[in-house]
Amino acid sequence: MQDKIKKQRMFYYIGFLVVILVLIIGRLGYIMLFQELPESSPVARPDVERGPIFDRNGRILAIHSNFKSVSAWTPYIEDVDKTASLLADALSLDKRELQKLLLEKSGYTYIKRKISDTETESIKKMQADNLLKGINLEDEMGRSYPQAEIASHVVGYVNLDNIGLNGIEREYEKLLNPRKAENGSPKAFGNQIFLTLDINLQYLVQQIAQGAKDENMADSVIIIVLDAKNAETLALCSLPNFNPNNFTAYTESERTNRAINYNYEPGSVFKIFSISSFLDLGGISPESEFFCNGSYTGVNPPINDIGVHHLVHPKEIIQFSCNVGAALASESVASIDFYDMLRKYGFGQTTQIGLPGERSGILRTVDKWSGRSKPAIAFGQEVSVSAMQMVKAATALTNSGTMLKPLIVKKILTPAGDLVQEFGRTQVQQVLGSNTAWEVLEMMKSATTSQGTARRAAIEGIDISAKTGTAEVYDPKIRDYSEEKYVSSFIGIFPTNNPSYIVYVVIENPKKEKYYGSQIAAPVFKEIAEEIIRLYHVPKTTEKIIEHSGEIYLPQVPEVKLENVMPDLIGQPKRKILSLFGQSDMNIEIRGQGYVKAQHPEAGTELTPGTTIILELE
Amino acid sequence: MERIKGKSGDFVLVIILTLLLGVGLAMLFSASSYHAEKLGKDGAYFFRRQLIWLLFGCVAAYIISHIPLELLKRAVPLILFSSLILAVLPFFPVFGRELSGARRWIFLFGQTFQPSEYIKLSMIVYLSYILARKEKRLNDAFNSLLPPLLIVLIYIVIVYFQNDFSTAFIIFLIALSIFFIANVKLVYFFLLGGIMIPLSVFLLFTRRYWIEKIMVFLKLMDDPSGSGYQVSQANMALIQGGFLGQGLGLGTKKLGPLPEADSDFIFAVIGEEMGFLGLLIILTAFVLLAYRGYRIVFRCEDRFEYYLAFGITSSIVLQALLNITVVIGLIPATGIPLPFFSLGGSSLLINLIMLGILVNISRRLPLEEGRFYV
Repeated sequence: MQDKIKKQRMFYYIGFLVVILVLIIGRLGYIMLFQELPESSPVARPDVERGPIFDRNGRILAIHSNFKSVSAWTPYIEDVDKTASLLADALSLDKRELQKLLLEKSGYTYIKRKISDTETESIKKMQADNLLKGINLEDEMGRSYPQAEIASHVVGYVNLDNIGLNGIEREYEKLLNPRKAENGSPKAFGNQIFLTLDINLQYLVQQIAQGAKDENMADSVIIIVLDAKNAETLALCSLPNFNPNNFTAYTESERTNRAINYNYEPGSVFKIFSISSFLDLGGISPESEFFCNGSYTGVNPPINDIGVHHLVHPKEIIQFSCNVGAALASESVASIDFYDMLRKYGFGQTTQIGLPGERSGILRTVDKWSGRSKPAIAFGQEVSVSAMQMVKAATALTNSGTMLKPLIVKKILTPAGDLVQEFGRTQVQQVLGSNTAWEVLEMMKSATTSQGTARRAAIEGIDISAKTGTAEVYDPKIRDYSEEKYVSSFIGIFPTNNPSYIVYVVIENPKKEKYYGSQIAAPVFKEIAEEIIRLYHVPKTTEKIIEHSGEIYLPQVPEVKLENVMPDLIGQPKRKILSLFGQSDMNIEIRGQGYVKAQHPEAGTELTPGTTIILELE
Repeated sequence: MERIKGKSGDFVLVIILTLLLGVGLAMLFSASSYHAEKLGKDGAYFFRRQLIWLLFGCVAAYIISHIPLELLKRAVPLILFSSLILAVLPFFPVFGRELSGARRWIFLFGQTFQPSEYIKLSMIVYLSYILARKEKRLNDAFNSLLPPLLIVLIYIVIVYFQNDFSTAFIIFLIALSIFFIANVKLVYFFLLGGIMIPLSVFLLFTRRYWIEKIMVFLKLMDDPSGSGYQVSQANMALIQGGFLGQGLGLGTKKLGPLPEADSDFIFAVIGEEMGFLGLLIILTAFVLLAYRGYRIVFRCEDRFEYYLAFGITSSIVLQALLNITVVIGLIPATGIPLPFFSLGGSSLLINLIMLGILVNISRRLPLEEGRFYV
């Protein structure tokens, strides 16, 4: 009835199935007989006691601690509703979500990890009353930060599984959190890390920074204090900050270490690096003369100054913060040489301080410069930096031209206390000639004299080299510099003849009337410098004078000074008034000869830079 | 008409099947009791449900093993039509319900049924019927080959739209196997491959989680909680099993860590509890089942029976192989149940009915005991 069925292909088909079967058996045998269980997930690792973090004097910043966690074994829970409502009350959780969790999760699940002591007590009590079947309390390793917000950005934090997520905790994760225990011991211990920070100073700096932030209604305040001789970071404060014990309650922005992550145009503080570059390149000398008529018009838009500084030398460019002078000085060097100097200073590159999240700022290569770039960079525009880059570059000034690598970790010890690694003064490279470095420090000293922009930072008996800065913030929306947003900053190095400390203050977007670096950042520096002087016993020159001098100085006629408030100048002779011109940030007009008859504004009026003062003489 | 009266079926096949069913049910009890407790039922809940389906299936299989196969042949149009109706039912809200993102269940009388399983059987019956009829004109591609291929593809697409990619894939594999055995020219397979491979890649890319599965499989994506997690937990279960296993009921991976422990990943649970040795025994049972099945195929003289026996045996063998290759991580995770083991009534019922048909065929074979072809 039918032809015979051709069945040859059956053999190929079955042959193919057999090959697959052999593969399966081979693979099964390999898995089941030869594979070892993988070193399980981080959660289930053997107990690791994470290493502590200390400040330079051994004060504890982060330490291992024991916590209790609540977990559930859902099959044993008899009444989900009741259990959920009991737990929700005791642990202040949402009852509905808890119910959902208990119904949906299979078997083992955490309810809440690392609970407080009072929560532990209430759970224990309910367990004793046999109300919580299927609910367990477990021991869990945790992390505690006794200093809370102090230096939180440097120390960082860990997640629930004790893995470092930020700061030193993250950067040194492997050293703090060894993956394996030694010699099969059930418990492993992490190394101890000592930071360069001095927590006493850090605390004071943070207090001062908070004060400044509140007073100026600023978006943020960054303060870095460096040991000028070895570039150890003594204090690093970035506000807003957070409490690492409870880091999830804070936004990512609050957890960001702005000292290394925030890039901004530094403004006039940058003049110390541009002027030193021009000096070192031989384009200008301390005797070079520039004439400031208030505006540098060769470029569009023109570069303006608040006042007219007339004849200035490099020293006055720094002392009065003369933009036009800096722009004119930039004409003396080639763009590429200027660029190379700034690269040597480390701009456009990370500082390698060893903290996660560092950003390099922007220093564009010369081929991307416009005609305005060179004069603009000379006074701190068209270049973006991080605060840490600025203090790193400043170490070249304090170390006779050799720039140092900033340090945050001082040493690492094994759990038993043996030295693993110690970090000391690390030279990056020679940036400047030694002479130039000292010259620039001297010039910066003039800024704290009564006529300089940094006069509000002056401290009697201590020579301070300083530079103020007020940078407009570039607003990408209007494609121009904003008239409302500023970054006010101040760098101070002291004592000038034996540079020991670098203090850098950055106030971002102050929203009160005063926004100049000279007005708001300088006083912050002064407060910090006074604390440093007190804490580290920095010798004052005045103290020596009192000790050694038996002479009596006759009180002089007090000089006329322009500070925050307009003085009463009625009746003053013209020769006294002429000294006012050196005090740069006001426009002063004098009409007539003789003695002052009338003044505008009136005595007692608050003065802001740029105010025009009119004096009529008779 | 009942010319086969009094002849007995393949008795060995039935014994192997009974063995598989028994071990399967025991392992399902072990693997599903935790799942049941989690849902607030007693530990034997799924075991009992599976047992009811099993008894129901056995009765159905027994009946089917005794009806004249002519009846089946004549019912082909009815089978095709009914499977089409069943196939589209889940898309109607009255009957269908979406479970974990897939519309592949029908709810009737408090029971759920997966029509894709029935479609699988009806495709095997249909292809066997049509290819047996058109045997001599098979190389006339347009008139003989294309119509059945198109019909099969339509059903596969419907199953695909129930979001049941795995069953669609299995049906496609079985259809290909049957065409292959029917001596369809190899060049047509290459042609089909040329169309199907780009098409299936396209279909894959319409579902995000399938892409993710493949990315995870190729280790291109980190996936601590999805399908990569399942496979790595299955792997750990197998490692813990070792050579002899942890002992029946003593596995731990089914207690939470291994999702789908009682369905798609039951093989890993068996491995953990019965070890390499136990898995070898189960594999041997499947190999014996395949041997008896293909032995029947070789002895068939009627074309319809030949294709039918081949389709049924291959369906079970392919499903078992696919399920196991997924569990041991050789191919990306899909949702193929292990025949006779995995939780699921429709799959068990259809598999039993298929075995019933196979036994039925074996009863019609010429008496040639002692002469083996393999």
